[in-house]
Amino acid sequence: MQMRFKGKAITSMLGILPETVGLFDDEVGNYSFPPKQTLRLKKVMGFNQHRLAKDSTTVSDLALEGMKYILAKGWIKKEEIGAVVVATLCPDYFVPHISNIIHGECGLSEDVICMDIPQGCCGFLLGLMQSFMLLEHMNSRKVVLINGDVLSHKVSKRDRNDFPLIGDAATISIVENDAEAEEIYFELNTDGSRREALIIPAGAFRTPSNAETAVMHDLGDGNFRSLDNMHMDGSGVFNFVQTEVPPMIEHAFKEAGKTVDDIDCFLFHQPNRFMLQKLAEKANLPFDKLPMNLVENYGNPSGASIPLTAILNYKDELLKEKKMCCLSAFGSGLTWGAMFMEIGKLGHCEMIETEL
Amino acid sequence: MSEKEKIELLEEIMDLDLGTLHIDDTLKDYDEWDSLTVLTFISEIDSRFGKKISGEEIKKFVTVADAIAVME
Repeated sequence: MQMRFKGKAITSMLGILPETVGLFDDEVGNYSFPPKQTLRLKKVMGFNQHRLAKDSTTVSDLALEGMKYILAKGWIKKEEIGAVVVATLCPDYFVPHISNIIHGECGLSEDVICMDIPQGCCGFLLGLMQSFMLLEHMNSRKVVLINGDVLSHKVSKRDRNDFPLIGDAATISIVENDAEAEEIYFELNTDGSRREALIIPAGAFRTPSNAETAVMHDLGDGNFRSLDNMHMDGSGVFNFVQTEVPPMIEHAFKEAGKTVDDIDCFLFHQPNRFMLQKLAEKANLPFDKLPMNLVENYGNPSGASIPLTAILNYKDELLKEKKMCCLSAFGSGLTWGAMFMEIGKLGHCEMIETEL
Repeated sequence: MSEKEKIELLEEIMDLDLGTLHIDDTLKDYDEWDSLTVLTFISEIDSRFGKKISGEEIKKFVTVADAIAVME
């Protein structure tokens, strides 16, 4: 599906990181593979350190820390908020939703729309899409878009395919109407027939968690995980990204009437450095405009990857100037999308750390 | 590409010194025959030969000969 949005802008961005840092070097012994081979991954994938939330910390905890911060600092007033949109894979509960928890804890007014979107890697793009559509009906009220995940709780620490790349984090983006904003082009694709490439098999209604789903097995590749753990089919996802994303980017450029030279930065989902390098090579995108450093600094926090990459690499520039950005995400679903959007002259753009 | 060149490409993919592999070697005897090698193999076969290969197909290879047979 292709969409165009007029008069919509991101006006502030906040990253919220748990303060605990897990070092890849310290985790080498958790895996059943020879250390030399595991350390080869450090070089190629860019595994170095990742942020890990405490066992008791949820997405709403991280988001609330951020909400309190932006309200206290005056980034937004409570009465300006018209909707809270949360895109996550990690609900606090099946019911109530995280947006309702935020609403209650922040004391927002009763006419505020709250919605959670269960979504992984494409969570920022889907969240923006939903925010833009809501803003069509909200006049001067603003959308608070929250992305965040604590997937380290769902990934086995003995699974070298999944654990080293995962990082916990949340982001808050303020999205609002802006008559001056450049038109935004967006396209999104889905292939549900390949949905099991990224899966947490147990824990919801199909297969509730029990003693059996918690048992750790070597599933034939030397990685130990249970049915309660998240699993990614590494080579399947790699092939998916290499096959589907380059033609989508090419198509999006054509539809948006832009060329690579028009783009100041490529803000892509951050699975690992290897996959991003291969993708950039295949799609003929310039390495110097496509940051690949989120995984080595913080880990991959799923839907929060794109805003966190923007804050990590362009925090100061985004306060001063507008940049034409090509956003792209790809992952669970399987879902892949691209967006061309001008971002910049932000009111605020910061990264904070929390004890959570 | 000669057989020698193909073996050298496989050595490069597996991050091994040149001259390490022989045509009848069993891949699983090498620690380097791992998940990272599978991804690199997929990527090299795509960029050098314009061919798609799945992780499942690669995991079925037993010997060096099986792996280099797809390099064309």
